[in-house]
Amino acid sequence: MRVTMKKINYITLIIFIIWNTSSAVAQSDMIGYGLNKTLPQANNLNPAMLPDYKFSLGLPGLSGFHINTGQNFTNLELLTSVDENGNINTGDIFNKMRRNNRVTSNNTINLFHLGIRGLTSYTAFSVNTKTFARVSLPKELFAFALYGNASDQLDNGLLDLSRGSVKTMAYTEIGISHGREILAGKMTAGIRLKYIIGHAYGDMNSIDASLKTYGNDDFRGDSIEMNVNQFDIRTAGVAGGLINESDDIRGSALSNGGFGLDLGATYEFSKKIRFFASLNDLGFINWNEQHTNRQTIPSFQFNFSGADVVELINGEDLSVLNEFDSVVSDLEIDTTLNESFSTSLTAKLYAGASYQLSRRQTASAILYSEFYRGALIPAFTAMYNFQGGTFFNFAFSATMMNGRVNNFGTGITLNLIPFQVVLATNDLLSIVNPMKGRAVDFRFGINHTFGNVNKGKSRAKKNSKNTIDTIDLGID
Amino acid sequence: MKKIIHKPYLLFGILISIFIGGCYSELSNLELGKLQWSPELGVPLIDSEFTLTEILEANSSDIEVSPDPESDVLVIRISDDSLFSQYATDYFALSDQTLNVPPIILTQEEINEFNANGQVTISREAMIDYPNQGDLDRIIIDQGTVQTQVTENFPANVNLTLQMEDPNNTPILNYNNFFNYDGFNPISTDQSTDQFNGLEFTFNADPVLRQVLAIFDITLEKVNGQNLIFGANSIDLNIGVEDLEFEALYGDLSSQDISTEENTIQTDAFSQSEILSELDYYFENPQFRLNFTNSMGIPIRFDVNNFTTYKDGTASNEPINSSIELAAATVGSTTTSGNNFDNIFKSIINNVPDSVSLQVDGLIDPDNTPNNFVTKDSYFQAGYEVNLPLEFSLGGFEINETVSLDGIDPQELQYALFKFTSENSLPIDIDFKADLLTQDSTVVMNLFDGKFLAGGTEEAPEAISDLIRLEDDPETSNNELDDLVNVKRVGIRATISTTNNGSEVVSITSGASVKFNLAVQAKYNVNF
Repeated sequence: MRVTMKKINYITLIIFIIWNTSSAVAQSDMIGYGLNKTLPQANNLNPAMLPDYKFSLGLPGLSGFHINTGQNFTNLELLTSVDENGNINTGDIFNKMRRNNRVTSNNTINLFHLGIRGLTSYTAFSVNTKTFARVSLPKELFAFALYGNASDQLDNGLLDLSRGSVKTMAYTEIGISHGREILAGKMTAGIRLKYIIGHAYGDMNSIDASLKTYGNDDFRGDSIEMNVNQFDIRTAGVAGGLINESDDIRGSALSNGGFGLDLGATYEFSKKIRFFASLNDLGFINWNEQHTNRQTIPSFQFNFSGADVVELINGEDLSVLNEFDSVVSDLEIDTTLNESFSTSLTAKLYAGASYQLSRRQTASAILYSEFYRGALIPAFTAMYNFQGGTFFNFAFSATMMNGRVNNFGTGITLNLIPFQVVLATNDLLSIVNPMKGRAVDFRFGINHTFGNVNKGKSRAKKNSKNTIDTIDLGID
Repeated sequence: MKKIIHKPYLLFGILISIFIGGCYSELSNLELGKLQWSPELGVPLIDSEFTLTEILEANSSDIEVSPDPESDVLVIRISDDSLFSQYATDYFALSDQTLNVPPIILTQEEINEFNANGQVTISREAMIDYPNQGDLDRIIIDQGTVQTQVTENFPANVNLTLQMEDPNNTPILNYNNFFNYDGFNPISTDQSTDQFNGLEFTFNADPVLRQVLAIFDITLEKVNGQNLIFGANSIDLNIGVEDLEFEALYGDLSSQDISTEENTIQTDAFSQSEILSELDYYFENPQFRLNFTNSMGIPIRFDVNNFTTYKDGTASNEPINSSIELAAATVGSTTTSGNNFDNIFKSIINNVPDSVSLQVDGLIDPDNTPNNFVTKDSYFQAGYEVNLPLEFSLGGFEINETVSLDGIDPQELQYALFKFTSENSLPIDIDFKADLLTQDSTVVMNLFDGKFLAGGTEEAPEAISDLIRLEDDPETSNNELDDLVNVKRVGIRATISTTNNGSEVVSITSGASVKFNLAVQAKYNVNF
């Protein structure tokens, strides 16, 4: 079989989507928030969070990654359970599925991080590459595969295949942030400006389709009717370049610019109570018109009640598949090239308060919301944090979504002079109980951190009593 | 102090590791079960409404079907315009001819000039009659060849040029040769072959119109001072025309016998084939007509002698002995004539022949009429037309066929349910039987045995609806579907008859149709 360049491009695109696809819960980074005092990358969550280190450096390959990938409709326990015949219990797997089944992946690779802590401020420069993919699959699609179109399990023979969608994106953000104390130290405010280079984009907006098989209790299969409403498939960047069979792949990966903005603030209400909030990823990517492709698949209806005998005698091949293939082949797909478009980043809101339980222990409550396709996906997290100076920081969280606590997270930073190792997960349940886990969330990294501002302040404070105004910048 | 702080951290880390390690221990024994599920698919296969006209026309491009304008009964028309055809060139031809060209002898004055000057140039013209073959009035020769032979015996060098043309100044010959005298042997010969086209001669008018004009130009040169003697030397020409093809012949053309081979009439539609058993049919009003066409300017009489029918290897003659006269055509037109032989054809066709042939003789110009013409494109031909009004009875029409069916995996099939419905306003019954067979034709399972279509009328169509279920019989200990693994073929028998098992004549009208639906619902296992 000859594989054409076009096929290779489509296969590459599919691999791109699948690679980025593998939690359907809102992709918050609560543990990062909890470790904000010692984790330099937590500044990415709220530019007003000032880490305790005086200087931090993250290098490519070391500064780490954060993988969050998962789905919302099954787990290993379901997939491995068997019935009395030793068969995988496909019925149980299907019954536990949701009406809309999502597979989501958020991955961040921290390529570079440089942070400098002033006495009352923190300035950082960071480069992060991020990928995002989300595939939504209606439950009825699995019903079709599992039960077929003639099953009495279907409601009146109808398979509602709407609400299917795909979105995937890859980009690199180059950001510079600055946060500082204001109001005599009672409040911090921060801002991060990000220049964004879009690498690849693909989306297929919600597909509204249905398949109905007519019949009755005795026989189901008299005729088939399929309705598909118009939908678009958009690609840009490398994905668009591959579909357009462009030779300029490098250009397609690097010629898409955009801007982003993170805003944050903290307010020390009292010595023990502190409020904080951040609004992240306000921004857009403008995809270069030279590497865009939009295909508009028109609405169509397919009805099949059988082949015509006369046409069969005349040698026509009129099976249902051939007829459907013929209808699809005859669709006038409208392809638009060289049309620039913008996509917004997925904005996230963190807001919460912390209570200082003791010198080393803090309890926090954080509200997280994500704006996705006009919908607000909220989550509420309670957090415990134990911080042993800059040497050890531990956080544990419990997250509530949809009215119930369904997730736990934990993370530590450990300073092994001169490196700081960070291990964290926002989905502890999946780690400690992999049989019921629905996601993999894991952060690992090694940072170079120097100095402890608290130590300096402490010493400065101590010294102030002795009228000595110096700050120790030595390695902690 | 740090050691004191670090110790609980270390213990905490170890405990966490043990805890998580314990969680993952169950993954080491993780086993996936067998992945199997059983979808049910329902697929419509056929949904059709068709008339007999549509089915017949889809089966054969040679068959025309149209309703009779008065009765609305469908009529099948099978025709062949050229059962046989022959051209005038098969019967008439022009023979080779020799032109009577006189020898060329020099006059005394010409000899004197030669002897005195050593050279003389002579110009001559001659009118030569073209022979009238068969006392025709006019001939137009499309093409031919002219053979020229020249012999001269002048003791001199001779340069001969000869041009010939017909009465319309169309050139026949343009000849030139130089005869060199060597001083010893004065006799020289030469010959040539040339092509000509488009000559015309008229024999019943001005004589000039049937003559060829010959123009000679001759130059003689003295050799070795040798003089000529009057009457001693000449140039002799022998000119003939051959391989003649006529464009047209006018006049009293001779009578010609026509004898044709036996001509087989296409009766495939009624003959037996391997998949058909004995047919038993009766057509109420079949019609057979022979049509003749003549474009020659000469009358023709055809003698239709007999039909010969062949059945089971035995031939039998059905005499007809009928004559059909065709008048002479005028230039550029045709005459036609024909006759119906319906009764004899009804007898023949209802005897279900394997094939039918027709023997026809004829005579061109049977009354020897005087003024005829033919052209090279003139022809006559015979064709036939069979009209079969569908007023008929049909019984015993069985189609037996087997279809290969390798590759059934019955183990994965839980059941298959076929649903068919029909509504028939044709007066035709179709019984259908389908058996699943092993390689040696042992019946494994009967798929269907019953009426597929029941004869009805346009006013009262007959409907059938049935479900065929292919599944394991729960009453038996065996799984009947397991036997399907041995199925290699499907044996099909379709029995078609008009209503009442073909015992009465029915009429099929144009609006009679069949509605037919077939769909399948099946449940099967998918394994990975």
